[in-house]
Amino acid sequence: MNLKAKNFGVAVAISVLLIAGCASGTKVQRIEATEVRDLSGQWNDTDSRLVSEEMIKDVVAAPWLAQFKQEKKAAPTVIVGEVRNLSHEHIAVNTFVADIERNLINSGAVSFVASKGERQEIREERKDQDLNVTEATRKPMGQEIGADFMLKGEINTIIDVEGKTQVKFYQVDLNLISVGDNRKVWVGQKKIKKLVEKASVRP
Amino acid sequence: MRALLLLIAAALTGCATYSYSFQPIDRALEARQFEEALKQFEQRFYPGGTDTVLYHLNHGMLLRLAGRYLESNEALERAKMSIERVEAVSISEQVTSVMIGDATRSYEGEIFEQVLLHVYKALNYLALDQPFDARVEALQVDIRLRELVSRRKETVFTEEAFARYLSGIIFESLGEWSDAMISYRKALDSFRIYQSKYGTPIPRSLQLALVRLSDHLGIEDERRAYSDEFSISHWTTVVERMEQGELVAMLDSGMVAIKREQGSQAFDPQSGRMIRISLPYYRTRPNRVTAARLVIDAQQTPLDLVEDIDTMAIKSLQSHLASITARQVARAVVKYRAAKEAERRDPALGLVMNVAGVVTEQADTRSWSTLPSRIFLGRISLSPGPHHVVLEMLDAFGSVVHVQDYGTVTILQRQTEYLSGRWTAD
Repeated sequence: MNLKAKNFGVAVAISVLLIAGCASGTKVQRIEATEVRDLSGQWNDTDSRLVSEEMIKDVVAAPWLAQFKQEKKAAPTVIVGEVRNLSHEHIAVNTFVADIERNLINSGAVSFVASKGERQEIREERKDQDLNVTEATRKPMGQEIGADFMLKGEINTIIDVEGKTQVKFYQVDLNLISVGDNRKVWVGQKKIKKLVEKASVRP
Repeated sequence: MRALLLLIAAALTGCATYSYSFQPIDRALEARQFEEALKQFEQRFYPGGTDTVLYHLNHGMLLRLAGRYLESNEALERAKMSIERVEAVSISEQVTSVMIGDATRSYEGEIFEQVLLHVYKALNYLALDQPFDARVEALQVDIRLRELVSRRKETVFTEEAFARYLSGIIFESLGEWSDAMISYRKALDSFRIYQSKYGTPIPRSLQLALVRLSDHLGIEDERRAYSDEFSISHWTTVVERMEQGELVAMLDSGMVAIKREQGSQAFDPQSGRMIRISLPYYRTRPNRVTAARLVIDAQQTPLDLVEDIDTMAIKSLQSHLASITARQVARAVVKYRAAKEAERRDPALGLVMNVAGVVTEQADTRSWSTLPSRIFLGRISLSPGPHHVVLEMLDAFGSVVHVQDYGTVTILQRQTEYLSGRWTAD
């Protein structure tokens, strides 16, 4: 084989490699919402789901609900307060809070009132109705329901690091506090522990 | 064959080093046209390849300068993810870097750059009034440093003083006294190292914070030691401060030193071949602003120098220089052998290999060049209510170079208000 032919061969080989490198397009694969896929080791949808499942099971079974119903002969009204993220990761707290809210509302055991931010928007709407809406459909002001309990909580983490290995411990605490007398009627807790080992080589 | 040779040479000299291709952006920054700088950057650079981390770092900083804090944080988060990815050693990149040059490796950022990434994310969150998210970044700095210390088996880190101090301020503003105390102590340890190495003083506001918190936590021995060392006999207690609000002002001054290439070529008469050695070095950029002060309702408070990034960058490069040089020598050997082998087959091909080897020998001049050269910080507790806040930037003679007027800033009781300024001209 002469030099020219050889060079040509090398050039072809390189081009093939280059083209092969560019050819991989985006691949999409649909998976079940409950399927566990841990990619980076950070807080993900699975953690959020585990927390909400655990909390929902716990909050409905706890005695506060039955006690309240017996005393007041009505379903309690709850408002979602602040769930503080004191962990080392940016965690979307609202996803599992919304999960808990939805489950409690749909079970009919508890009714929720709109949170601080949401209330403002609704009040504006009522104000607007006062001016622009027919008498029959107008909603009067001052008819809001005061919440009996507030759901508050926090997420904490403990991280142990050694080189490329991390042990992550998440603890989610949720409290249901009686608005009338600051009594904590329910305390829910969920712990999650993960061992994350980062890759030390890549291609 | 000669035409081919010329072509290769022409093509290769076209690969200008990274820091040169940044010049239009630097010019826009010097004119303090932040939107224009961002536009220039987005037109010229794209994420992907070995400069992905660098792209996101610079993009994040330029977005921050343009006041787009949310997008800036998205960019910086992408930088964080990319760093995690490229930290794993790439086998193919190692091979190419031995054959061609250091600039072909994925940029993963100097340690001080990786720490500052969290600092700027935290500052963005503070600007967005999300102190709990800023707190997340403070915790991540701690984890990051612990990880680096255990991995590199180095006991002394000097890159963390300001990051620690800012963490302390965030914890204190959220009422987490013991966490704040721990961060302030760690900041003090690092500032002491700065002091002995670079001669930068320990910020006065940190000295006061140490006394204030050790007093509040009842660590009397420690409080007395700080009081004696820093000669502080009067301070506003934590309880007294609860009646007030706090203003924290930060000034990012100047543009960080950039890497340039210093190369020299030599002709080896014995083998008849060219040999080239090129090393990166830091060139500082002129900056008139050497001090700053807050003027609040006509009352002056000086800002403390809390981070000298130029010095940190230069020290950091010095510590790598030995390994950079070692890689150069190894590469020179590889390139020499390749040229010799090619020459054995065809003398012209040997010449091509030699030229290619010389031309591709370029220093790695990549760095997070949109960082400031120095960071100043001032903290002042103020009575709740409106205050007129002005930040004055001063030159070495104490005369005012530039005035940034924040207008009326409303301070709320037990709340911390964060202001930041940036000076990018010379």
